[in-house]
Amino acid sequence: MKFRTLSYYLSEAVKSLVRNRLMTLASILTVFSCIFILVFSYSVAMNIDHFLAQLEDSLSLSAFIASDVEDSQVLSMLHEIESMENVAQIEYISYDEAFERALEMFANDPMFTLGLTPGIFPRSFIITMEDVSDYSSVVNALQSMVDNDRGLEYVRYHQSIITVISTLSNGIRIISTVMIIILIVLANVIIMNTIRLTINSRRNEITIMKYIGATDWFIKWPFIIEGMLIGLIGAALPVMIVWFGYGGAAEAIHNSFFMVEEVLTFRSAASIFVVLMPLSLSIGMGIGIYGSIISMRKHLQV
Amino acid sequence: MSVITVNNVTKVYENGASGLDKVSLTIKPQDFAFVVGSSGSGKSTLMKLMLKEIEPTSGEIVINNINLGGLAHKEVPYFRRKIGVVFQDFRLLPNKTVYENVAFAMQVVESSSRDIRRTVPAVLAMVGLQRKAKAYPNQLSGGEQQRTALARAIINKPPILLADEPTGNLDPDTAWEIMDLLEDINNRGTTIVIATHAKDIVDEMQKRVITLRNGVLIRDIEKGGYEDEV
Repeated sequence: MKFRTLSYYLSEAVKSLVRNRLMTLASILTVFSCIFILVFSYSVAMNIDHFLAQLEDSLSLSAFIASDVEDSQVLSMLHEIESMENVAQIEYISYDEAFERALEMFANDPMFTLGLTPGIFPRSFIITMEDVSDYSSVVNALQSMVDNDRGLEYVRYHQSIITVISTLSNGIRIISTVMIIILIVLANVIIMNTIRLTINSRRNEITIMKYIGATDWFIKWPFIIEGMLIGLIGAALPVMIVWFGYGGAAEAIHNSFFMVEEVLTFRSAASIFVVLMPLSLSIGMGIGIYGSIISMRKHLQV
Repeated sequence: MSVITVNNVTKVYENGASGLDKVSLTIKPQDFAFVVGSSGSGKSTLMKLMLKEIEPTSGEIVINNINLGGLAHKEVPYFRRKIGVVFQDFRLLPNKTVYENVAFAMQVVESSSRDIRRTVPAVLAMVGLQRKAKAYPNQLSGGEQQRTALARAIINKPPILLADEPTGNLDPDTAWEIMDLLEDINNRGTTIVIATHAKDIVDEMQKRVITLRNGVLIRDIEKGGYEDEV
């Protein structure tokens, strides 16, 4: 394809877009909505995954040792728990260490620890998991040790946080996927109608082109490029909006929630958009081109 | 050597109507031929067959040494670039100027911008429209529109020009202007085939006349006039 022919296709496509501007706008807005949801949900999903990874370091299980367990038995218990599936790390907290931690925790309120001695606070194992979302297997195994009087008194874990984050992540993914699919279908329908209008308005021209000796692709390319431009514009706009808004939104959330501020950091915009930008633009263009091709198959006989 | 050979061609449409019935004719290079007959005689059918717009039911057509029966779909555009076409209703593009309408024929065959800039004004001058280059079709008279269509038809220097009722929408004086132009084009080497009802023009010009009636070729003479009855 010669450059001048490509510039002809481009100019014809742009003229059609301008000529049918209302339908063009409707098409672009539909693609915009679809890609906006994709960009938004992808950014959220990537950050939730990032949070979960960070939480793996800070979220752990605490298994408290029964007071009647001898110190000599502790080591074998430690090895047993360490060998469990999904256990990444285990730390033993002795009576003295537990006491030191309590003093540290209540350093600003020494009244709470006045008169207390080591031995008041139970010994424990602090267990870190490899996959924090798959905590239940470890919890069940530890709970079994509690139920069978095998040296553990009770188990404590941050179930609610893990469950909420995992559930939220899955929920966002499912809802976003459904919405994106619906919007892709809708965008295709609207783009097909936009191209159909263009085909109808150019029927006379197409007939003349055929008599003059235009090839099928000379006739078809402007329609394909028209669809591609709709998809490209519809995709580029939300990418730019989210790109420029990402930093501000991350900072606002960071400053608004204590836990986020203390424990978690957001992924950098660059690390998300290096994947998201080509993905979004490709999907947008794909929607546009597909809509054009389907419309041409139905309404354009060359 | 012929440039157009129609060999025993029959065309029957899907509704059973007969378009052509065993028509055979030969048109030589630089011929100027009128195809005459009343409505429904088969003139348009013959034109459409020669443009590969429709397929014959039987028989074969050879144009520029190309057998249209063996022409693949993707080769048809390249075949049509060797044939200029002019219609009764001009068929100009309303959103393009005279210059752009003519240049369009060169864009379709991917001519360079330089070639277009050089050739279009020359062809417009040839048809007497050099001052109307920036006008749109709705700003032109019928004769000017048809001259624009002629310019578009000849800009790629096709060896053959087919004209389907080129003077059908024109007054007599303007019609003669168009016929003079066509004769001029013929004198420059282009084979011309004109389907027409215009008895006065046919009688006056005394060119080859091919007469069709009900799809049958009833007369083919080297020089003659229009005869309604044989």
